[in-house]
Amino acid sequence: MADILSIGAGATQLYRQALSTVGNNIANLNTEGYSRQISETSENAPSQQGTVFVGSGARLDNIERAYDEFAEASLRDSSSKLTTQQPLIDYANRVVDIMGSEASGLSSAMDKFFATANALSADPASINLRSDFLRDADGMTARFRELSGQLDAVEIETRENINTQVATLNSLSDKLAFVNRQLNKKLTLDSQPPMLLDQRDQLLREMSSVTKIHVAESTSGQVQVRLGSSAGSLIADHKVPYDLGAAFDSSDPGRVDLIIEPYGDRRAASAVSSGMLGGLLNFRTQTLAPAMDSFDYLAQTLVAEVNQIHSAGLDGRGDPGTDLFAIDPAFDISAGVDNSAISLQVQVTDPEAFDYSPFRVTWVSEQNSWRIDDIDSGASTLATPGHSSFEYAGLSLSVDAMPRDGESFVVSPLTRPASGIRMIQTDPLAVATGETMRVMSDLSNLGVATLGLEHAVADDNAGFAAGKTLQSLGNNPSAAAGEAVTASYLAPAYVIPKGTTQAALMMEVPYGSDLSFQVMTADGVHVLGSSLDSASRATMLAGDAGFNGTSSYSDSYLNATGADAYMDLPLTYGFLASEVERKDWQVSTVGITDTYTTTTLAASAISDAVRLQNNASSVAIDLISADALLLNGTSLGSLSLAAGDTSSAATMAAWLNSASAATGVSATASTSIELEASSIDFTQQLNINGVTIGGGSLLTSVDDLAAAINSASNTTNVIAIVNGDDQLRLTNAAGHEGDNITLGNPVVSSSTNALGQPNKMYSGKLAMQGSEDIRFTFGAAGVPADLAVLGLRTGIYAEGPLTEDLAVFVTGTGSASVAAGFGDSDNAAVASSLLQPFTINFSSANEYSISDDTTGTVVATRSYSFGDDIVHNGLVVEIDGNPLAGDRFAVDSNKDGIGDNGNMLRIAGLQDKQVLADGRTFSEAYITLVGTVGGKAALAMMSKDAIQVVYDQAVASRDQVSGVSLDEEAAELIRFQQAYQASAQIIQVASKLFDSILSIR
Amino acid sequence: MKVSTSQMFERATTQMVSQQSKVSDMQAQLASGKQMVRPSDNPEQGALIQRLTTALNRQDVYAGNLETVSARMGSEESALTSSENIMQRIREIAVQGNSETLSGDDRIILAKEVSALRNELVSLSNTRDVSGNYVFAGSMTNTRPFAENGVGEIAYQGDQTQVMVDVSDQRQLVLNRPGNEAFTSVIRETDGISERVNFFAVIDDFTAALKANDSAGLQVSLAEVSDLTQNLALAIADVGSRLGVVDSQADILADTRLRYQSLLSGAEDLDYASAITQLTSEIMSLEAGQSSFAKISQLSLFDYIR
Repeated sequence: MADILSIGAGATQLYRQALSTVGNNIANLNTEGYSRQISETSENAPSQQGTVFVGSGARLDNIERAYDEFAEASLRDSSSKLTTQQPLIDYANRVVDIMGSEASGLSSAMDKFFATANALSADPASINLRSDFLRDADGMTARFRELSGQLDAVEIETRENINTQVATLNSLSDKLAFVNRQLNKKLTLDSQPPMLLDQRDQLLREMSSVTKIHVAESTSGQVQVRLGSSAGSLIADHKVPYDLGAAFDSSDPGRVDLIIEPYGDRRAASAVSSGMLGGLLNFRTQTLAPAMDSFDYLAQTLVAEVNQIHSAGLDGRGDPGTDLFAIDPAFDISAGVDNSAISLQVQVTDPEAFDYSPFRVTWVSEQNSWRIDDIDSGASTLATPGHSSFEYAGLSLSVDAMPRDGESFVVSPLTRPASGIRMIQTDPLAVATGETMRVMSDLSNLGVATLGLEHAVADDNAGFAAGKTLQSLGNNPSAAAGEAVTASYLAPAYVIPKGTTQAALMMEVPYGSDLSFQVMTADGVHVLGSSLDSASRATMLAGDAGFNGTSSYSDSYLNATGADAYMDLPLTYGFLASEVERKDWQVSTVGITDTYTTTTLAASAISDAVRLQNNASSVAIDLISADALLLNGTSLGSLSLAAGDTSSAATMAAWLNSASAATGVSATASTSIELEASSIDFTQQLNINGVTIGGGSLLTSVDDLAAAINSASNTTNVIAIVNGDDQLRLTNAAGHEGDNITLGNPVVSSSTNALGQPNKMYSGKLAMQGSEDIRFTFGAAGVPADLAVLGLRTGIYAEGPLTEDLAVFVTGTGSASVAAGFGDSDNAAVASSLLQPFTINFSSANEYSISDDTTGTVVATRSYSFGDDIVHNGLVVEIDGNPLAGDRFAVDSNKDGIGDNGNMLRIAGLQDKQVLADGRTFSEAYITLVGTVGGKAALAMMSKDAIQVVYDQAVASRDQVSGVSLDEEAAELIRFQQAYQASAQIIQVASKLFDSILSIR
Repeated sequence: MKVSTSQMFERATTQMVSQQSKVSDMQAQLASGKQMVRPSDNPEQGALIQRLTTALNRQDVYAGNLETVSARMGSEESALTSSENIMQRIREIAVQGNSETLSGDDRIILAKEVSALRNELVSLSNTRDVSGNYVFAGSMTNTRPFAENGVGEIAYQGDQTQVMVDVSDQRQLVLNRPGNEAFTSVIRETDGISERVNFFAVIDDFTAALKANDSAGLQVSLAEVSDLTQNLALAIADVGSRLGVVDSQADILADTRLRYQSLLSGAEDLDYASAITQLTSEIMSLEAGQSSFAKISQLSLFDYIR
């Protein structure tokens, strides 16, 4: 009987299973990720009895898992989005709380610093206020360091958090791979155990809160997970998981690289921008790194500005101020091996020697010392033996315990201004409150005028840049390197910039030319040159040269030397050869040592070929007039040329030597003609000084030629020398040094001779030696052409450092070749010249002169109209009133002015200076920094609230499908219980029916 | 829409917890009296408060500077006033000394008095303020401005720098008066040549003229002493007007401070009335949430199944 019993039995079994399913649902009410299971019943196949189909009950078809994959997917999605916001909110709020609070933020410390600066400016002499200023400045640097430390702590925390998230993701993908392998055992989704699928979904949900994932489900229920989107990196496929790793850059907190399989086949991961991981990465890149950069920039700018002002002032002792703040480098020390038990400390001992290159230190126990490897260059050095402390590149490093062999550390120095800022000054009297210079009216002045002193904003002599600088000629004094320049009164040919040392400018002046140098200062003081008529003076000063418009010409210092010179500068116009110091380094058994002896070599000079001049007249003429030239200060007599004579080097040498007792300069003359053997023309004949060489026959070799010349030397007084390089040199015979040599050819029509040289007279050169310097200067009637007679170029020489720009004019007619030489620039000399005291003297109500107090030089004479400012040496003197003739005003050092507050006012004024990006002041920039972080947090909170709604909706819709409701289960429980009872009743009835059949006898 | 049991519990607890945190935030606000418990509550407001605090601190600094200026000018004024009184007396003596009826001995007695008064003037010119700075020395505040050289002449040793002090964002005031502007000099013409004679030299010359019975010199001295007295009076007037400026600046400063303080208070301080009202409503909604949860969570079908 198909069959009441079997129907009943089947039904009870069915409902018992249904009840246990419901019981399972109720039991798993609080299980995380549990999906409600529904028992699906289906009718058994009916049995056919004749034409009637009798049903045969029901069976449990399947226990189905209530699951909506779209609801799951949208839940995962919104979960990723929601968790993205949380790290930003938490950490950004933390940063804002620390940096924006009154007690721990920077604003209050900066306010205090500027407040004490202002209070100090009201009473700069007070030691108490100075100590307060130093204390509050120190407090401000301490606050910078603390806040920087807090930001570092946030950086470390986010880094740890990222590592944790990555580890979580890795362990989840491991578990997912395990589940995938379990799912592999069945072929279709329907046949998979629900518990496994629940587990799988739970893992996916947890992964999506770490980062957004893309899930691809196969028919068997196995999943393939990618980062972010369908094109992202694979982190789990059907069989294996792929680990994720994160790499950080200590110098750039915003940079985090995600790597797939960091310990295997490393490759870059696709971008992660959502989930907890994405939120942390975003926070670091978009909020933390810019905040740290802005904070560092703020610290750096503050240090630079304060130091610049402070160093330009005068402290309580009258000394120039030094830096107030310094920035120490920060060191990122990472241990080379894990679980290293010792720690390394690094400190800067010598900031000059320290460079910023990273290095590794390794302990080498067999050498009992540390080995230091520079990471960039690869260079290796061994430190002095000893494990506890050692030095390297201006740093002092120390460890706290004995290291193991091979233990190493990598030290990377970073510039982190906010963490390295500190105070250098501790002495209250070293606070530079005062101005460096002050101006005072002489108390006996008759006029009534009050004065103010400011620093000039622009360079007062910028106009002089119109000339080419000396340095543009190149540092090559030889005549061959000369550049052509045309004479002009209108504009300077060159300008020698201030600070130049050992300046020399030399010009080749042809005989008889009127070319000359003129050297002027910006205020029209004629320092070197020849005297000018008033028309020329006016032209020079009025031109575009950039002279000070109110200055008038002065020749008081023209060519003056020694104590009379302009500003006592060692200037020479003429010719100068100086003695040279030579350092001889001592050599010892080890090698070259650091000690040396100095040898002074006497000055020496060799001229070019001297002027050949023939006196065709019947009276003696003067080649050089008397007193035209001075040698080492001694006026030389005239150099005369008798009638019919020709000038020669010998006569000139004799002329110079006649004064050598007074000048200390001795001269020798020599004439020589040098040529290569290859230029000898053996087809020609040769006359020397009128004597035919070789007796008219042609010579064949150099040696023969030389022998022939030498055999005639008694008459010619010329000898020939052949040296090993086949060079032939003709020179004077002994006793005739410096005489002219005339080359000729007995064949009159020929213009050259056997030597291949033109037929003419050759003059000699002068070689001079001086016991000290060799200095030619010009007398009243001397001109550069006179030096040209001696074969010397005319030059201007400045031996010491120049403290102001000098303009060099080339005047006269025509053009010349000019070469230059110079030494290094001495900026220290220029800087100290700006602190030199000077006096302003009014010679009348409309004219004043400025004289330098140290040297007594009158540096400028200028016209004055009411209300003009007087500008000199980088200072501007403002006159309010009417100065009268005889009034004097002195500008000198403010050494005793301890009550002067000019510099401190400037430091206090930094509070309002718009010196940072976008024209912000310091406190504005800080407020903006904190505000930006806070704004991002607020934005994240708004996003979070919005996404929360979506998330809640997604949770609700998932729960609607898969969640367990007790009431629903209770109803099901009753339903199945009643069905079970009814089915049991069927068995009862079937049993009764069978009993009634059995009872038939 | 079906709501699973666990979802129902979770939702209720989440809402109650968030309501609780709102209540505790309000409580923190009320306890601290500030609108913002932490700067992260409202970053823009925080920035505004920071700016106002900075501005207020600056006003305090300016107030301090004004007090310094005022104290300094006070010492100046008192020194100058005393000096003026002495100069009035010297002028009287000069008038007296010029009278024909006096004898040489009388003049010598007057000379002694002038000498004593001159020494008082010297000590007045070297006045120091409460911090020990010389008031009339310009910026050389540690140097005695009027000191005697070897031959008993007094010369001005200080400088002529005027020290400026910030008293508001836009305004600076001069703190000091250099000694040569307070104790001025005169121009004396002798034989067509003009030269400057300093303050104490005038008085010393007067004393010498008295002792020497030099009537021409006494006439010159009378004119010069009158000049000096008048200049002192002008200086006192100037100090007076500067003190007036200080007072008016102090008033402006007080107004500015008040304005900033009220702005700061508006941005920072809690409005108790509205806060307490809000707290009450939050507490009410928390209570409602709690009691409704208590009731609803009791409902279960299992209670009705025997």
